Amino acid sequence: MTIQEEAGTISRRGLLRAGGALVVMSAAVPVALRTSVAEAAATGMPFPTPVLTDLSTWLTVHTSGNVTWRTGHVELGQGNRTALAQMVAEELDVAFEKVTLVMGNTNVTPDQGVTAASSTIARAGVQARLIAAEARATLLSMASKRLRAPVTELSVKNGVVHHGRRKVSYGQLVHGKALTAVTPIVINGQGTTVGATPKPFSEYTLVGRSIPRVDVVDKVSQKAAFVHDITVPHMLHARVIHPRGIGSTVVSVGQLPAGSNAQVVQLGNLVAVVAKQEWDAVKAAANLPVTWSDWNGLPSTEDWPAAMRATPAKVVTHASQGDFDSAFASAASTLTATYQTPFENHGMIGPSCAVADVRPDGSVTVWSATQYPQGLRNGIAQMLNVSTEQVEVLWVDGAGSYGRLCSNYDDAASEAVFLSRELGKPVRVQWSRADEHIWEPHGPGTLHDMAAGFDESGNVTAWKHDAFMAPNNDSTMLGPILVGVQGSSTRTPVGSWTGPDLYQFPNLLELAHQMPEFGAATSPYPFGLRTTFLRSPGQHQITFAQEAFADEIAAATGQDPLQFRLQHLTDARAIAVLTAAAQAGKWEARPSPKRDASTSNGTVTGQGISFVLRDGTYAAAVVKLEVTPATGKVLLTEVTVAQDQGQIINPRAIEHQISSCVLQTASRVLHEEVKFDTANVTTVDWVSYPLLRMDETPTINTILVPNPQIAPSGVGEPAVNVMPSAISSAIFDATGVRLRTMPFTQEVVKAAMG
Amino acid sequence: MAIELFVNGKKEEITSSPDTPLIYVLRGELGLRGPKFGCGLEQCGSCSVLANNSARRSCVKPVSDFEGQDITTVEGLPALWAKAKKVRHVDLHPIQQAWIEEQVPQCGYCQNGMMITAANLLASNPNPSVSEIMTAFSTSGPSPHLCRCGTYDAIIKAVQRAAQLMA
Ligand code: FES
Ligand code: FES
Repeated sequence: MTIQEEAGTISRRGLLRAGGALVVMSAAVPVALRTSVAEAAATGMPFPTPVLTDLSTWLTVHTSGNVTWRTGHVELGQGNRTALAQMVAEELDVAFEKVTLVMGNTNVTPDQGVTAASSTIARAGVQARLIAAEARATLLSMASKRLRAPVTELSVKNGVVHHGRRKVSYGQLVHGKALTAVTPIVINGQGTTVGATPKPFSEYTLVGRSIPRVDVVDKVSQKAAFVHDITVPHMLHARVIHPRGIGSTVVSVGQLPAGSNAQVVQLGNLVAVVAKQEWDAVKAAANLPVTWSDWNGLPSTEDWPAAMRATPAKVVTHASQGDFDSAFASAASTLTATYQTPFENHGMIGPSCAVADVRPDGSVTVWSATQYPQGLRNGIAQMLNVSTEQVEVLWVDGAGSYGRLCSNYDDAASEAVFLSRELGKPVRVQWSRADEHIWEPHGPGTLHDMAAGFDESGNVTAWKHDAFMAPNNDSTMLGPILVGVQGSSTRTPVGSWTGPDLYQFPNLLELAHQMPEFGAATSPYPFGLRTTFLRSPGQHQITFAQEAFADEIAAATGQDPLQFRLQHLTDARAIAVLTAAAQAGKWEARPSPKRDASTSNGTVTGQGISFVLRDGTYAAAVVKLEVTPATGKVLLTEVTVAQDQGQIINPRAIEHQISSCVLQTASRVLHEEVKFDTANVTTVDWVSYPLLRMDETPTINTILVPNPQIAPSGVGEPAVNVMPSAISSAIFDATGVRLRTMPFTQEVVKAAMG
Repeated sequence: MAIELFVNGKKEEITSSPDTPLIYVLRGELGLRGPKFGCGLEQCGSCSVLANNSARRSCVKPVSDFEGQDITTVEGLPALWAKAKKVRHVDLHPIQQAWIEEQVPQCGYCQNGMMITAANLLASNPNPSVSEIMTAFSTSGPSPHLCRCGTYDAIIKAVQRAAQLMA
């Protein structure tokens, strides 16, 4: 399979402009869309919405036997494009190479929700599987008529239907025409229902194989276009000068130095410079004097935990069983601890970028790396006050965004549309590195008060986890807010608890204080320090506190951390991943800390273990590391992750996802913290906000626990959750010092070692 | 006077103003996609190119600093290999081949710079150890090469594989 553009993926307006009247669309475009652009524009609907229950929305079978499959989900660098094509080819019984995916083009792809929370395979993929099964049933019913044979006597191989020696190919049956499902597709609150039954897993030949990723060749040879590479005729380059403080508004905008080739645009508090040459815009942004109002509504980095505790919040009971209070009051002994996680960056290596073309007739084309093209389309229609049928969003590859472009659908796009409307030309907005570090909606800071009570023999009789969580679902886009067309927000983002509890404690209480955003109350804008989904949102922080505290209990009661977990778990899949990780990671069964942790080279070594159930996927990790007490440096030496994600679609892609989770989270745990003063974020680049370096890469072992009879669940996030506590516990094992506040930087570790 | 560069083997007369950082010339004026803008501060490595055969960041230094130099972007790596092997054409440099075989890219944004630094390393050290690879990507340049997607371990394997392919 190659990534080709089908006719329908090119902007139809673009085609119209390029080639005059474009009367009939290619057969690759669903029937509903096969109208002339001129005709569609005349009805005020240049960009109709694909209908989900129409089989021809999902796929086109070409005369050649090639299949175009359309999905509303997008490739975020995790191999979705390949895994989805595998699932579809499998169900249709065609060769993998025959399937080409069109992703995230609002003109032709169905709205399958946002690409986030490891949901592509578990939700969009399973939906695609059902619809592909229905497509196969439809093709078989056509073949049955053609071959005059009952469906039950037909077999399919590589897209050719056989009946005895007679055969007909899918391509011959359909030759590019629209398919109508034999049984109508039903999509409602219960999910997707089709007449056909998907294949049993025992018959899979493509699913479960490590098919190489189809996007990798193009990315390596630089044929793949990232959103940063998109250029359109007459396009202007823009740089936005963002407010100085989070709640600052424009006092005055000065003039560009004489000789500048850029132009200043001011729309309310959206201040930008635009130029034909990108460098002219960059220089102008640095040279334009803008005075902003003073705003100092944030607590500083040092003060935020106290400020968070002092802020009134809604308290939600996540789980409650037995009577924690009385069990804790009557416990023979108790243990309490507070954990803290910092505000973090998504840290896209390429900063936000988008191109928008708002035309005089009000129709809009946006090129974006958004994680939710349909959501962005609706958002843009709203902010420009046009109908959704006036807007097309064309998704393009971007830098790994990890939630940054998820509920926050794309700030740069929201700024570009206003600038393009104002200037009457296509506008490309690219943020500076400082803009991205300061203005991205960050991962939320959290606090966790933990308490446990024990009986005389050290059994846990009471467990409490009281979490204070900054929001993890801000969905504001800066453009309309700065311009002033969107005032107060209709919804207040909150921090939510994510994740089930598998440990069995007789009396348990789990509370979430859903905090508002810092500064939101005093800002003229409907946001404060924006925080949103960051890879495994909520659960990353919850699991850190939960799992590290489990280790504290094991240490306080002299138990082996693995045994302690196994004793309190009943779920067989949980036990299986923990056991597999312990075995492969050569877990030493003993209580922590280690008696003699020192080595001959002046370091101390330790081990840590952790477990999570994230969205149906079970993961366990064993971390081995060394600490240099003299410098405080922590170096991971070996990380072993065992994971059970049900059915395995593409083993190698899953292993790469696990490595990705391990390394990205090691970076978060050891190095990353967004700092701020009372006005705004002060970590503005990769020096003030460093990432893990290659010379900190551990050996990574991955074990995929097979469970083919269970539907596939997500693999992009689970292993994120097991890293923080495993690292914290391994440092404790090595040094006897328990670190409860992330990140565990060299300075922090050195100070803690005294 | 126009600044002259040799980009991927071709002579180019540059019309951008001389203070323009090289990356904007390569991307904006010459339409190349390989060098990626990551920070504009020489802090991430994604804009790396080979200039007279050594890895350089292209995001800060003006094009005038590169006057007369041979610039190679990832797009030019295959031709560089073809020249070294004295063949007319190859589709991919062995480094790119190794990157595909090891399935290195996740989002892929940083990988241009990674492959350029691999080329730089393998030119002077055809058989680097793991720790030499780590040093090359972590401490030898103006900054470490950063990847957000967690591909460091795959890059280490791919550099070793490329070394074998080039031997
Ligand atoms: S873009 Fe040049 S080093 Fe980051
Ligand atoms: S592969 Fe995404 S930043 Fe490196």
